[in-house]
Amino acid sequence: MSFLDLLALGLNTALTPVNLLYCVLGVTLGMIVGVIPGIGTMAAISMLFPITFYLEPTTALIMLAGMWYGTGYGGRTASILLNLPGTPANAVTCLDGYPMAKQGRAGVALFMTTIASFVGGCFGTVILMMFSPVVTEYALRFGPAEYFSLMVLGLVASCMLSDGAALKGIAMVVVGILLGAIGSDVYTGLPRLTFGILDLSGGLSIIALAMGIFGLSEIISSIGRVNKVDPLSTGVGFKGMKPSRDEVRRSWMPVLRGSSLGAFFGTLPGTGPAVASFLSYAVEKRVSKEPQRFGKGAIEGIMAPEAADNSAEMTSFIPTLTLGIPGSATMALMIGVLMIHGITPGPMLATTQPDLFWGLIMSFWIGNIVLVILNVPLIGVWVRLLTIPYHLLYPSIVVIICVGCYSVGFSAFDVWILMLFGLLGFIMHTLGFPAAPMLLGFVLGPMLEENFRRAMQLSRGNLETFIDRPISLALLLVSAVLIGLAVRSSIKARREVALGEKG
Amino acid sequence: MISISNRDLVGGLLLLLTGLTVSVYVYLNYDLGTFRRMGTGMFPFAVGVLLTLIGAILSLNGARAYSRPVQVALRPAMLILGGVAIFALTVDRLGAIVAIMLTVFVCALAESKPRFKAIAFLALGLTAFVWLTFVVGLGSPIKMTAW
Repeated sequence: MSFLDLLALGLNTALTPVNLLYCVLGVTLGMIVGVIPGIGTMAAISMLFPITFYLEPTTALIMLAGMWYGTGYGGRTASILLNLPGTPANAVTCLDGYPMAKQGRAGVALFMTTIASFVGGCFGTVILMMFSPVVTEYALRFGPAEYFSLMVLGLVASCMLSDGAALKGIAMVVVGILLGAIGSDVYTGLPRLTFGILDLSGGLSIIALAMGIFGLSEIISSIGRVNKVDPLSTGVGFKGMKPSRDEVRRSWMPVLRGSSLGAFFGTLPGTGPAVASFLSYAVEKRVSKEPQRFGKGAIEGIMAPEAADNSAEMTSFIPTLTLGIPGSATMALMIGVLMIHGITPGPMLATTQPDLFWGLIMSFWIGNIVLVILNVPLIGVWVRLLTIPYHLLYPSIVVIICVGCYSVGFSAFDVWILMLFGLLGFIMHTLGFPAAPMLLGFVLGPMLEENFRRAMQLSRGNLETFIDRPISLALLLVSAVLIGLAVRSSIKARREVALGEKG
Repeated sequence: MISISNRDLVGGLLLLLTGLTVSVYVYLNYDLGTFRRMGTGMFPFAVGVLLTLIGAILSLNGARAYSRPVQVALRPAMLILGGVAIFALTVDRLGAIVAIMLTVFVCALAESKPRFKAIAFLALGLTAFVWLTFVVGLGSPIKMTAW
């Protein structure tokens, strides 16, 4: 099928009434949840996740994806009006967005960043459309050894920039892999590590894991910290949204720069919207002829990060859809959804399920447009959401998480697992271990093992197959270098702290 | 409130213990096989060993350096997790309505000044919301009552 035929197929799929409905629903829900500070992206998606079970895989993905980039749009509102980021990626927007709001220019900030996000999102989607087929074609030449090494690199890379020491991140990946090994053995189907518990023979529920580690532990740490806040709502009305000519002039280069940066960093596993937005702020400040304006309401300071954030959200799908390698925890959940519906992501996905693949991509266009429509005229409504007191919110979230988790398999056992993972998430948070790598390890672990064993079978037990094959060797070398850097920097940091204290 | 003086050491040791336990357990209970024909246990065993190693490195780092102690608030955690546990205990036996009410009540206690009237309304509202979304909207056969 030619490229245009594929696009047409995608558009057809995306525009069916069902998919359209759930796309709109997804972005709306995502935006609403994103606006509320105290619920981050992962908690939000974990909560909304079970709803997608009742849907067809294509529809489910469209909705989930919509929720994801919807939270980016929504989080910005909290950043600008409350100086509290609604999602981590929006943190940078507080720096110049809140000062603008204090100057009575909240409407302008909100409007302009909507445009920035839209442009960024479109840019990212174009990159996604252009590069996915290229990557897919390349990846089809990969054998199990290359896959194994690629997954190793993806997992290691995702630890490098997570908060906390990289080595701790790698430890979490390893724990995740072990958790993923519980269930049935990949080849024989016999139960493994189930300790005789029948409920475990299908493996641990990914919902319970995600909701527990991200949702519950986030709530536990938010209690007492987040309270009712007063959003600055002056200047938020239609008239208040008109930007000055000067601001428009200053905006479009930052948006272009931000979109490009976002597109690049979104594609790399391990980096995503948050990193892209931080970096693009730094770049703008460096490139600007008047860096002193930053931090006091410079329009460049919000346009670039928002464009980068949304662009990265789109291109994050590239490794996920084409290679089956999630670059972030959210992507791991997407892969989890696919697997639960019986679809294995990977290079074959584009050819075996073109309607899913291209339908999803085309739905991004629709989602972005819907978000612009939602954000511009209806902004006053969302602002009101910010006034919901947290002490009412968090029990609701807990209940929704419990019901959602239960409803997947109608098993109270899953809810117990949910509780255990909530406990584990709390412990990890206390001890300073990042959670996202664990989810990645959990999702990729079984695939890692399968590819490893298959590669070993093909090479008849020869471990050197991973180093003999050039692509595999290259990937493993890069991973080794990254691991080495992680170990070295953690030892160095310890030494510096120790010396600093003594001296 | 409890205080952990060296969280890297604690974390590293926990990981080391976990890795060790897993490796030993797998070694004893599952067939490792050979490289040519890998058994069920080979992969978890190797991963367990890796975890033990990383745990050792982290423990050493933690032991050598000084880090500020961490304060842990136990009450919110216990109450939220307790709420989840209550849900797990009651949802099958007593139905979703009771489960939701109890869970809301327990969770709300995590707040330092719980406001009971608001909580009661919230519990009712949430039950209605869950019923509407899951049972009516999605057709999910959750038992609202189980008696």
